[in-house]
Amino acid sequence: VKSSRQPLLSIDVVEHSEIIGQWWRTHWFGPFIMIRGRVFEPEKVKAFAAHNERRDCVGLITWRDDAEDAEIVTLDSAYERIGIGGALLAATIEAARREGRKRLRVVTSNDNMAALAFYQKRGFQICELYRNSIAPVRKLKPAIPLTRNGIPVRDEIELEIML
Amino acid sequence: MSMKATALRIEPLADRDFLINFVAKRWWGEAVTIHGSLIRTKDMSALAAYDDQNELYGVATYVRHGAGLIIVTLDSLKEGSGIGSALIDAVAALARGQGFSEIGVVAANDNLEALLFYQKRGFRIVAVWPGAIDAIRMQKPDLPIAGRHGIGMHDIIELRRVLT
Repeated sequence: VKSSRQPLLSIDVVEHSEIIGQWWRTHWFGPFIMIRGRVFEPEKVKAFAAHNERRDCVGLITWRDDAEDAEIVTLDSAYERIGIGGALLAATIEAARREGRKRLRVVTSNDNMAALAFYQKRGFQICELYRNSIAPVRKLKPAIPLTRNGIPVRDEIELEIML
Repeated sequence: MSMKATALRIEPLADRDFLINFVAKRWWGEAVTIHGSLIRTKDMSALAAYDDQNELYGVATYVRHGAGLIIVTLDSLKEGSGIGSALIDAVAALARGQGFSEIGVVAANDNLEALLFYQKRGFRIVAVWPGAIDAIRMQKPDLPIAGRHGIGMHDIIELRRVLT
């Protein structure tokens, strides 16, 4: 990507959980997220949004933390390969460090090679597999496809990075 | 598409020196760990695919483990021509013939092509072995850390396909 095409991004704390709920409805099949069998609602997470020069929201990261751990709940960007995801991740890592968290975790699904590449490139390492853990999520969110990229969507793969 | 898949012949690869050299060159050396045990190329079995001119098209290595055969390396020398699938099917046929109910495969954490390829062909991820490649590296310091896509090689991912 040529630098001239890199948008000027501003990364901002999201103050209102309605924005998160709306985003999740659009991108995640419903107003809540289920990770490793736990349900997270918009009020229970922190978030950063990426805005372009026109103040359009072009990406959102949500995360939560307690004790030693921080965890990414969702990460989406409207455009690929122009640094939105990286900027949102960097903001989250910095905030989690500031909170004194020792580890940042994230789960993705077994079909998501883009996420496995994205996080591993940035120093995350695979740490756990939750087999067949998507089935209960699909019960709550029937719109989750059975297959993606020609692969059955079934498992959660967890990655972590030490902060 | 000049290649005819029907002309392929798959047979056991008997030339051990060739095999060890081939695997060492195309992969990271001469050993992998599966379930914590170090398996050397010389202890692997191999199938090779040739065309009717005896040109080598691909190689699959495998070992017996538990209730099945585990594919350790799979190389197609002509991408996109179905050789990988044909070799997998040949290993599956062997496993079936020996009374096994599944075949497995191991892939390094940076090998997203393999994760995609195998999952598209009926394999399911059954285990991740965090740090398994780091453990091999302790014994073989020449094993590089830098893998594909700018990803460090650390872990082994195990997939299995149930034979029907």
